[in-house]
Amino acid sequence: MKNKLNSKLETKWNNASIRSKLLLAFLLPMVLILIMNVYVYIGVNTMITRIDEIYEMNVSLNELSEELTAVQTSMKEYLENKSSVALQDFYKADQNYRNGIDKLGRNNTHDERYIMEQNIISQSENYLKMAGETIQAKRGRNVEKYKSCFEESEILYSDLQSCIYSLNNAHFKINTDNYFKLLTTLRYMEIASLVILVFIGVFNIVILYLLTKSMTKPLIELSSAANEVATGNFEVELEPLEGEDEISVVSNAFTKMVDSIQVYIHEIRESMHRESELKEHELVMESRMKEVELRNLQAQINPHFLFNTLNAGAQLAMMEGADKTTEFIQNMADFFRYNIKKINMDATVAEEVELVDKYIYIINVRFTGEINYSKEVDETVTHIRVPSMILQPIVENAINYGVRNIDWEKHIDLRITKDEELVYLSIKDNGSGMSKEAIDKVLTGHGGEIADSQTKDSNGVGLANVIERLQIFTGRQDVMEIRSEGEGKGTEFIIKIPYMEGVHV
Amino acid sequence: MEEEKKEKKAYTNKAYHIIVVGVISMVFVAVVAALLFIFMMGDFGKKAERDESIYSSHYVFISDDDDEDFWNSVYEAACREADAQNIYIEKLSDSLGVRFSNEDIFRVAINSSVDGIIYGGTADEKIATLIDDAVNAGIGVVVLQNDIENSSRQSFIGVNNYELGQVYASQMARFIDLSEYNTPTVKVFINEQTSEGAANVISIAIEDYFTENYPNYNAPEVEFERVDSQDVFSVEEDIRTFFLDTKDLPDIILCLNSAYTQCTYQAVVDYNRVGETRIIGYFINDTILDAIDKQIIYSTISVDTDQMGSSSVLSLKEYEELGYTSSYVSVSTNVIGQDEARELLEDQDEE
Repeated sequence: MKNKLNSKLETKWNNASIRSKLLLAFLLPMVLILIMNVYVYIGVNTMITRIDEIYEMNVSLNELSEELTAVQTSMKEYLENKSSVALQDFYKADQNYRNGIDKLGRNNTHDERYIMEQNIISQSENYLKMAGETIQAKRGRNVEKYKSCFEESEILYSDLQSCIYSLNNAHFKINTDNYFKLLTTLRYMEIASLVILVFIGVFNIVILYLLTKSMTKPLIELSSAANEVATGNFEVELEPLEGEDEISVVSNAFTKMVDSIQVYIHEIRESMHRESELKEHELVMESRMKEVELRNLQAQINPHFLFNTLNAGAQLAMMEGADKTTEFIQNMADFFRYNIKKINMDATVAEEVELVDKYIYIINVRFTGEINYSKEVDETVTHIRVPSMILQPIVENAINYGVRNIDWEKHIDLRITKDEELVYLSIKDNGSGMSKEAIDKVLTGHGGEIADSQTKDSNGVGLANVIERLQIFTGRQDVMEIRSEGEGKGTEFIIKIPYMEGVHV
Repeated sequence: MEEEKKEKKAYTNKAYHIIVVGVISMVFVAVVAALLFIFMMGDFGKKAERDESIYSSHYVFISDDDDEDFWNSVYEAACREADAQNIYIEKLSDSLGVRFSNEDIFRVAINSSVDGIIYGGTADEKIATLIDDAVNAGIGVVVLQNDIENSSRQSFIGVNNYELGQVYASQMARFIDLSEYNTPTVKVFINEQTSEGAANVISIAIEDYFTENYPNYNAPEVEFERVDSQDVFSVEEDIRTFFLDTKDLPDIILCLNSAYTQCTYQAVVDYNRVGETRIIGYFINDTILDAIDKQIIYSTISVDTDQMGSSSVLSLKEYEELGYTSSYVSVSTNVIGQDEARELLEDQDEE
């Protein structure tokens, strides 16, 4: 129950606004000091009341003594001049004195002062009786009697005054003791009040300091964090604040803002990184193309001159009626034109297949039709765009290192198929085959002669170049697979290009 | 992770905890301060509490102030008895702030309509008249130690002078080898106010004792030295003057009250006249016992003050209730010699 209340209050405090907190921080010490002042005020007031009470009896005894004197004086005055005014004064004084006597205690108690009061009462009765007799004697002109009565009452008066004085003294003695005790108490109270005031003062200062510190600390941390952010350091960490006061709200919002900025920065960095990577790819691609182009230039000093020459040769052959020569030369010219034209661009699968056809034709002229070429093309993928000059170098490779030096019938099969994800461009020969090491070397780009483009009969584009361009083009590493069952068992190169309906790489 | 979270929570709630601790501390301080104040105020400054128990009678005790020790002892004994009887005894000379004579006090007591008066003091005519006035006003009066025979007092409580003279004589006989003396000289310090008759009774009692017990020797020659007994100082002055003026001290000095005893003892020591005379004192207190132990005072007659005080109250009460009481109540006396004094001193030490 207590904990519940405590946590409830704690939550209330945490959710309070700064204004409320500051108000409480200043009001609390003020209220405490006020309470302290009230406490001192009540203390002093009580003391004063006590002092009043202490001397109350002295005051009333003094009054009694004065009233007694008034009785005696008025009696004397009447005896001297027998005036009705004096008589009136006497009766008045007599009544007043009787009233004063009535205030005295009439208890038969063991207290010394009560006993004295009793004595005064009894003596007063005797005195007033004697005074009355004196007046009566005077009125009755009984000189002798009033004289003796007056003497008697004089003695009684004097005794009474002594007794009142003694009682007053007794009270005063006790009261003086009380007064000194009271003074000591007052001094103690003064010291105690001072100590408590100082204690509360110091405590208030400490509370104020701690309170303001606890309230301003998050602000200071926030400002230093803001400074850090201003200098560009977003790696600032602010302790999350509970509660819903303004500082907490601002601090938590600031933390969120810095976090968001960090996320944005990260995203921008990543996109920039991707962009630069893309650019890098393009640059690599371009350099590879340039390389291919250079090879072409090295191989064919002037392709236009070569085309023109080949065209002239074709026309000559046509005029001479040599159709086969014409076709050969025409194919040659097309082959090289494709090489020159497409070197910087991508091509469709169909165009690549056509180039392979032309190449096989040319090679077969050279090898007198030794190479049996077959192809099986899935017509649904012929429109897919691929980097140019990817099939022909593989075919060329298959001829040069696969089937050129074999004794048996030479076959080269081109198959283009697809599944749900990939399009497979397969060139399979039945040549001398490849060892596993050789395959690995080709695939990792250390293919030696096979991978190297620098061969005598090459048109200039090596396998490494093909693989690299395919990787850049598709953005995948797994672009080529080479299968060979061993020496003399032929080799199959399979190019894998991602296929997505409607979207082509 | 969880600890870190807890730490953070603790930090965020620091202000709250400061407030809570602050408020609790302040409340504590306020409560302590209030309690301290109440404690300090406690009894201070309050109207002095009074003894509110009711008494049935109010007696006044009047005594000479020349022999304070003796009369204080009687007064205390009377108060003890009065307490038991639910009677209040007022010593008017103490409660009156001004110095009154015994006659004045007597008059105030009568005018205060008290229920009884215990008087222990010098017997003179004025007092005798006042006793009569008091009795006429219905106030019982008992007289202690010195009887006032010519008054209408209800009772006399004490040792009568004849008896006292006999006790003194017996003491003298104990240490005087009568064969050595032709006629031993005896000086009796007696109150100035004491009547001639009372003095004679003592003298006769001494003489009778020796005649009866030692018929073959001369009875001592008793002389009275009247001492001004207004107060202790006048007593001391008179006794010192006596010692200065008297070359040949009497063989024996009899002191009839404790003040005379102490002053005589002091004078003998101060004037280096120990051994020149033999002192027989009256009453016991530490000084007198010490002096007996040293044998500067030979012995002392101790009147039973407890009995005297108690009897005075009982007699007055009896008179109040029945309208009469015994006119003479004898109080026992003890003689304290060196052995008894030592025993008493040892008892005191043990206590």
